Amino acid sequence: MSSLILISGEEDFLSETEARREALSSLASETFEYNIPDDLESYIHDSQTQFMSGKSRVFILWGVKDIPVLPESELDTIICVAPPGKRILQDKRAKRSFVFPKLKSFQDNNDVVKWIIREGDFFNINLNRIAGALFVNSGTCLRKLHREIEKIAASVPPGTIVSPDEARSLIVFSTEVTPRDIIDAICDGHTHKAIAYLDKLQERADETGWIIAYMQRHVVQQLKLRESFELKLTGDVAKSIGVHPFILKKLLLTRLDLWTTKFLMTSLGTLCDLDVAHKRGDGSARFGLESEIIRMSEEVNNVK
Amino acid sequence: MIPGNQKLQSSLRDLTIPTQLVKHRSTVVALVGDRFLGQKSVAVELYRNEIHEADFIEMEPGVDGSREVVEFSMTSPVGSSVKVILVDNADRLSEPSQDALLKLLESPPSLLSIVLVAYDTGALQPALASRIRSELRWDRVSLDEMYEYASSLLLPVSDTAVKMAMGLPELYRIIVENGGFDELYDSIVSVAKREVFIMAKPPRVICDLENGHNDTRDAVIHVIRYACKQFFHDYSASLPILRFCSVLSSSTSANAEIHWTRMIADTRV
Repeated sequence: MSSLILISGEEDFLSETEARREALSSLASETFEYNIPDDLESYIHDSQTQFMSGKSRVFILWGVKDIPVLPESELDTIICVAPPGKRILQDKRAKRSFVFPKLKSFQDNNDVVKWIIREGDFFNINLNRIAGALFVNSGTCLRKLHREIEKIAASVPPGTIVSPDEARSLIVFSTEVTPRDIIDAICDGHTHKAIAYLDKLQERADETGWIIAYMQRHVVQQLKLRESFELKLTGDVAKSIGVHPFILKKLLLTRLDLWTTKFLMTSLGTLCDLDVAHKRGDGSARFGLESEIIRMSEEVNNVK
Repeated sequence: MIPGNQKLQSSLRDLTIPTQLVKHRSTVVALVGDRFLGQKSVAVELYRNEIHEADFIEMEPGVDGSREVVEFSMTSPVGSSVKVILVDNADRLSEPSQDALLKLLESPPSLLSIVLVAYDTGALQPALASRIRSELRWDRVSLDEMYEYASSLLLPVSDTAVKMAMGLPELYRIIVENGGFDELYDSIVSVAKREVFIMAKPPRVICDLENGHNDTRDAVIHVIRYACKQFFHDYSASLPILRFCSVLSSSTSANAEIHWTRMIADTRV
């Protein structure tokens, strides 16, 4: 009976990596890959025949929902990888079974950052100093992160403690951070994340004006929405406050109770003052903006 | 034809265009007074009629404009008795631009008249202000002259606009030509009475404001201040409105609609 290895989980990059590592560690002379169900017939045909030389083979089956027929040869290894999702492959004949849930990125317990550090260890480089920055740059996409780590590992000597300066020259800024990310982080009450996004936006150019404009717009939209409810307006609220109905439903209504009208008015005043200060070339607007981001985000935490 | 200040209009002609050719004659004249009194229009009309086009130049704003007029001043007049350089908004020239003019103003070549139009002489660099040899201060025009001017335009005479213009003929012209200023005035009155909602769309002239200093922006500021005069005793209403004016005036790249919303919010607090 051939060896059966099952891999499931929502983190498709980890599933894929594990499947290839298993294939390598089996020391098989040939590896065949099939996409199920499209290549099911080919797999059945190939797996039922055997090498004359008696060498071992690995069959990697991608997108498996049900375990297919297994070849008789004991030398063969079948790696079944489930499509990304919550469905977990189970079979009594399985030699090993792996499950990779989505890595969590909580503020106080960030699995992605821990994974980055482990990947660094795998490549024999120390990423402790830049793990946070890598996370902010590439988000939770492990595939992108892996590419960045590979690149860094190829450019620095083994055992190096990678510094932010070394990493900055190598990292591709693939995920474009916009002020919207800052606003999303504020609305989630993730102050540290909002500040990290602010730092990232500001690191290459002074984007204070852009960020202030975005925040002003968001605060004004929230104020208008609150007023429309206070006035008990009937009809098309989205039209009356000048936004698309989708934006109203998905972004504004879900954030309606995060701040009071008074808080929003104060915030609008502060943002307008910062806007004027920034346009007059006052460098302190940058710090004022940071403080306003913290204030708004902490208010969300208080409300929650 | 700009009404009022007839004596000053004649003086400008006498000072800058010599009737008898006197050798080594040069002068620096400043036309000062409120914006919209028509100082620049009067000067342009005068020099376009009486000076050969090759001998008259209006300076473009910026350092390049300053350099251009310095080059222009290096040659003798072609078809007139003098060459004339007109510098509008001299008080709004940047410091480098004013610096570039200093040398020219200090020792202008012969047969050159330099006319500076400055609405706020306090904003001129002291070094530049000290080189002005004659200053013609323009006054606001009377109500009769305003009506006379209003009738001369090919538009119906508006009593409201005459009142809003407050003796500034060019402001009247902008108000009646552009439209939308009545709406602005009414909106400001409503804001002061706390009758405007945050979600209400700002007046058209606010939405259409272009960045940078321009006549429409200055006209908007004038009209808002005029409307605000009625509520000067109500600080909680007039202060946010005057702050809005200040933003329009000093931060010309600021988003006027957002600051309008802030003004409404502040009157409500």
